[in-house]
Amino acid sequence: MLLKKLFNPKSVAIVGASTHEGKIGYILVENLIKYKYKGKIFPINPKAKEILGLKVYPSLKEVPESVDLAIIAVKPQIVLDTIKLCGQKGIDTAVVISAGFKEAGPEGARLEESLKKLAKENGVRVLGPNCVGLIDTSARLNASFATGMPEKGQIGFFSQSGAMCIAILDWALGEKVGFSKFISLGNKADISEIDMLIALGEDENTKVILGYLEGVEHGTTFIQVAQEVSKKKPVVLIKAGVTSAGAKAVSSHTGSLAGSESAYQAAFKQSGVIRARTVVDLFNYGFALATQPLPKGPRLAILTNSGGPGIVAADACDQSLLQLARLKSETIEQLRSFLPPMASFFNPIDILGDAHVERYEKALDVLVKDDNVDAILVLLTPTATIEVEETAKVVVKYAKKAAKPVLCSFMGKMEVAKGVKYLKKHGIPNYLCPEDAVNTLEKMWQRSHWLSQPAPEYPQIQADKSHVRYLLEMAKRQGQFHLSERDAKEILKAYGFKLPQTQLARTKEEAAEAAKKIGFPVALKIVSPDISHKTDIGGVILNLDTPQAVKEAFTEIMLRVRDKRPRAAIYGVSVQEMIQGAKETIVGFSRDPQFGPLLMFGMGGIYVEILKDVTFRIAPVSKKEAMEMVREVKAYALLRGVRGEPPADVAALVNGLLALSQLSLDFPEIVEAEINPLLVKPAGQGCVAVDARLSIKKE
Amino acid sequence: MKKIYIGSTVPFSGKGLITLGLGKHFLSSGLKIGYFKPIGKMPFRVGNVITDKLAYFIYQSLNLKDDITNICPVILSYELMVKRMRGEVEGLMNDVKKAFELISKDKDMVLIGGAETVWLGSFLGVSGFKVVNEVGAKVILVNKYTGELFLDTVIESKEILGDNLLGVVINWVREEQRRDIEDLVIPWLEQNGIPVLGLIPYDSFLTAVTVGELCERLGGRVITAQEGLRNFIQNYLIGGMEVDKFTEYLRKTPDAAVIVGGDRADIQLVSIEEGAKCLVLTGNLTPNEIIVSKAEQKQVPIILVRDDTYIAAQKIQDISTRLSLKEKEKVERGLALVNQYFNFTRLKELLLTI
Repeated sequence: MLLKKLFNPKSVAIVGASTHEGKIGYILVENLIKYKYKGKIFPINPKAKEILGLKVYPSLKEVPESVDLAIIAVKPQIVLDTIKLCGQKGIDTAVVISAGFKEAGPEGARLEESLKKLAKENGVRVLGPNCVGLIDTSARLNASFATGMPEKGQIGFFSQSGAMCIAILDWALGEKVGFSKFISLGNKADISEIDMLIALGEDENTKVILGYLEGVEHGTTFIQVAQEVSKKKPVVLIKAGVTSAGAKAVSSHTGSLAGSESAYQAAFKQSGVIRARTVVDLFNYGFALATQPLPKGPRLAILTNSGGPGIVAADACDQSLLQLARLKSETIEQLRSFLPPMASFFNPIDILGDAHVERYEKALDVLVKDDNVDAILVLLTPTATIEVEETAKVVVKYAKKAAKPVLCSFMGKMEVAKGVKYLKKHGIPNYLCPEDAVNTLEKMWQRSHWLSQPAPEYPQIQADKSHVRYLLEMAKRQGQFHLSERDAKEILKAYGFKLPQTQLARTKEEAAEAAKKIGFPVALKIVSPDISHKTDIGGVILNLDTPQAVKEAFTEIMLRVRDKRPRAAIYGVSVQEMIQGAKETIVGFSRDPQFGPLLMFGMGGIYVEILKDVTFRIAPVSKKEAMEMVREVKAYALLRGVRGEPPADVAALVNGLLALSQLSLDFPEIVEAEINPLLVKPAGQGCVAVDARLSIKKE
Repeated sequence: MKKIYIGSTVPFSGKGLITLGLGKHFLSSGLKIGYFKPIGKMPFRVGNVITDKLAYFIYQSLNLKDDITNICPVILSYELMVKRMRGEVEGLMNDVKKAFELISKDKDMVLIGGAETVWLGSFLGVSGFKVVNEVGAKVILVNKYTGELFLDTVIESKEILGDNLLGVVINWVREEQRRDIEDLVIPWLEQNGIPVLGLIPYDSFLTAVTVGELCERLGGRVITAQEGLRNFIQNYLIGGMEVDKFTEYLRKTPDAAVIVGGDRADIQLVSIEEGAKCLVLTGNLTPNEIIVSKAEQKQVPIILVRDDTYIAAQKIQDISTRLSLKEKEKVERGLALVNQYFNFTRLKELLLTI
């Protein structure tokens, strides 16, 4: 098991243990003793004899027994020597608390490089530097300088920010949230979020993994690992630095690039990672996933003793991926049998403000048995009649029996306090307002759905790779990094894209001839390497339907180009088939520094420009993922056909996305590709790449 | 003895490389070769002799032993221009002829290197056309394809030279020009009795400069990563925009030098991370320590210049229009292109008819 000794060390050494109360070296020893660490403790300090009743050793070398884990809190320069000593003593895991590395300027950055190198050479895995430390509740190990020790629980938490660690720990103590492991990653010189995912994935005491991230360094590995781990247990992450302001803050804070929001969003989606937007959400999701079973479907039953909260919950449900369950007729009959006639027997089930605990109990009893219900949300407002704590007990009793998740929103503060405490103690998540509960259930359903998906298929696309390789080689040789439209289209053709019929014309007579051959109407476009946005200068004229119109358009284009770009080289005009009755879309990919090829799909024209109605995935995409991309855009209805239009050829579009996905993997030197527009014809007629841009980089 | 004049009607067309390529080719086929350049524009001191820089480079590369004094008899300078206008200089053609006779002694072939264009030196009475006429040389024109200018000047040269025009080499052909050149230009030239002796593709590596050379030309100061001075630069980017947009450009632009104000730490950081070949920091502003250490770590040289970004960019523009043959790698790559794409067989056939 990875990092075994990080989590269950039989003995720890504190290098830099201090006799001065309040110093980090003192707090580290104090925390180990105070929280009753099970193993042996060896404080190291060349000047001290005894700290808090423990014998102090002058150096790691002098420790007579073997040491599993070294906790290091000395000056940066001495950290390096200590790592060497660890290697000599056979200590293969160390936690470097000390600051003064990458975060502290160029000198520190050099030290961190040396630290990485030494760690590798000496076979020592290093957590940190510049971290708060770690806590392992099952070993009762608090190897950190944070105050307090969380309760034992099933949540494993890691954080790239030390301050977030300390704040969350303090909050968790107040909220009585239990943890299995609590880790501060610090500068991630060696052990990264990827190692943590693997280690917590393997840890038996951890049921849910939560994490706070600012940046991921090895995106591809991250996706692979997260995907594997997500299959075993839920992974919930917060990714900070998603806005451009946040990203700048990340750069100046960690000296690394933040990466694009679209890429993270795609990466999380594809690897089954549940994304939390706030710290509150992170723990809302985490606690529910740790305590409740996953719903088998999206159908939610809401049980309430008042109308308002029930409506709020119903609204939230409707706006989510969940549905209000349609109760079985037996259920409704049974509800009718014991509820007053003014009550609502349909979902949301309103047992009225004068309800006592009995109504909750009887209602829960029938809801738990109803197969049309996949999840139950119990709402309670502290009316004069309701016995809050008794109700909490009833909820706990039935939740234990139910093979479906039961979440609560006991609304209020003082009156519900005892009930809420009871619920939490017995593993029933409770939320301040119903929306949070619905939101959490939605994530649980998404996870359940993700887990039930069959293994993805990655169909192989037939492509003439050697021709593409030749074209790219020629372009590189000439230092041409934005491929000509002709080359870009040839490459797409090699990957199975259909192109509109096109012919080069150098005179107006040739243009008219070409148009006749292609069939009217046609479009005319200037051919010039010096003009990149042809439409801007009037270099494109559409819908020409007679030979005469073509001739006139030819002359018109030539006049406009001479006027707007007198020095541009002209190589004629291309006469193009006009595609009729097709839907305009955009497909393409770019490369994200962390995650690699980022595939994009959107509806063309105003949808992409004004509404930014686009969606992303990281390549390779499976057939299912490509289909999801198409369905995910808001304007998808247009492809299905509105107002009696025939549906568009979505199958061909999906194939196009798969082909681009493969192109991006086959030729890493293509840094950007865009087909705009890709016209999707009615079902069965395929799609046509009308215009394409492709950029390459040199290796 | 064969006399071949290699000139052009479009400046900066890459004559030097073609001349060198022809010289090497004929040397290796066992001919005794001479090299001569009637008029030069880049004065260069070799011992006590002032000669032309490019001429001397070709002379040396061909390993020739003639007296350096005679390689380039006329060096065009301000002083010479003044003297000519005051009527103090006459009869330069005699100097040219004398030097040419000395060079051509005991040779099988003399390659005559043209200046900027065949017209250079007309006011001195030693233009390319005059010299060709005077010494009775055959002419190869080496030209970039530039549309009308190319067509006008080649056809005019044909009218002036008649059968003395051996042919044209079209150099620096970009892929997007190829279709027009092959479909239209070559058939038309051949129809007009102008043989095409080669179509040599553009290779961006030949216009690359090293970071060291860039620094020298900009009059800058390197403050870190001296090891990177031999990096080749093929592209330039001005970091004047938002980081996100800039990153997009940078990723698409290989081997780039980034010109940016000394105070734009964001652009500097992203340039270093994303593999720029060097940073040119304008306004003589020293960057942050963290930038310097990152640059050192990634071996990206930082050049400080006094100019503002616009002036620095202008200076760079001047550098990249002229092919510099300083680096061995570039000369070898260029010669390989000449060997591959120059039609030596056709040239030999044409030479047999003289």
